[in-house]
Amino acid sequence: MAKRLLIWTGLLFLDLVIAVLILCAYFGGYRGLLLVDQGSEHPQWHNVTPDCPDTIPELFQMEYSPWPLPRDQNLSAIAGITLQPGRPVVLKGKPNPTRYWNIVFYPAGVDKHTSSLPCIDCSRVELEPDGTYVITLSATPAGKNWIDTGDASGGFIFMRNYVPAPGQTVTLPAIYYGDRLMQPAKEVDDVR
Amino acid sequence: MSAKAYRRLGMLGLHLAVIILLLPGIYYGLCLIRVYQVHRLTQERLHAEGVAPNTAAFLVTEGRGFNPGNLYWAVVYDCRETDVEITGIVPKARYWSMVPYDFHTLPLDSYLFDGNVVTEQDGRYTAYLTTRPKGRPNEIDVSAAPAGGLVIRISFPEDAAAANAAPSVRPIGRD
Repeated sequence: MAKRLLIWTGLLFLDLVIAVLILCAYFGGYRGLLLVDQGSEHPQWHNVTPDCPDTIPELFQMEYSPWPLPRDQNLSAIAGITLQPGRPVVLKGKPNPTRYWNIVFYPAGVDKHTSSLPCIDCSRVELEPDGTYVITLSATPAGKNWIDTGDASGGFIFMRNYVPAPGQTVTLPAIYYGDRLMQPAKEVDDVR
Repeated sequence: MSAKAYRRLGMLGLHLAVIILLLPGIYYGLCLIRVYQVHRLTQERLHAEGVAPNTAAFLVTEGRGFNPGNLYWAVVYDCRETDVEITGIVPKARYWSMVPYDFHTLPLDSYLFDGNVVTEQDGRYTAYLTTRPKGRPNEIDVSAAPAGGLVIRISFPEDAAAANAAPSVRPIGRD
């Protein structure tokens, strides 16, 4: 009897392990949502705006972007990035038709985020002659539109677009590691 | 097929069923743990501030997903027995909003922002959190989450003194 109970307990534990592995494979490998805040060698934009068709699942929303603004008020997205010496992370995009937008860097391992986080917003960004912007995240100064990443080896960037113009498209910038394009610019339609 | 093969097939089906049940069980279990953590942190903050729900707004200076461009005021409300009245000033700023949240930290559909809030000429407002809206100006219907948290966001205020003035919060009886 005890032997049978032990076998069943073992099998149930095995089922539990398999279920956890399936969840890790789905959310981590397929969706790329596990440990976004620790950074990623394959950055991708994840929509954290509530109630959009591609919004990340609630569990991860609570983890990475708790207390978000409603969809009408803010279209926002996050992307995990890794930083290496001599390899800046470059964001290339165009200003969005919103009341205000900003990009904030959240270093890995910092649980308590404060107003001292490195960021840049639409009132401070310097545009290129063609109206686009180039933002550089690195530990060493990199000219205009520089976001100081300090000694962080990774983390995530958060783009917020407050009060997007109705019916307009919001563009999330392309992400480069050095000169290498890692994530093309992504357009998010206003789905109101 | 032999009886042994049927038994093995049955065992396999049983384990598949258990795994299929475990998948949402683990996911929603983790969600509930997060909800519990949020609830506990809220209670700790209330205890640290020495206030009860429905009585005060407190400044939030740190937290997950904090936007450095914003000033945050938080109110813990409980509208199961009473309504809640919040009075304050909408300062000149790039953005202002007052949004209620459930314990899953998701916003409710009813909220105020600088585009729909009704104010006096000097920017003063009176807002009501209620589960039974009755047509007052600046009513926020919290029937989807009768108890929860409310966040007031002020982005890049021009008048720091007005932005830093705590809104007053008090429970009010229902007629």
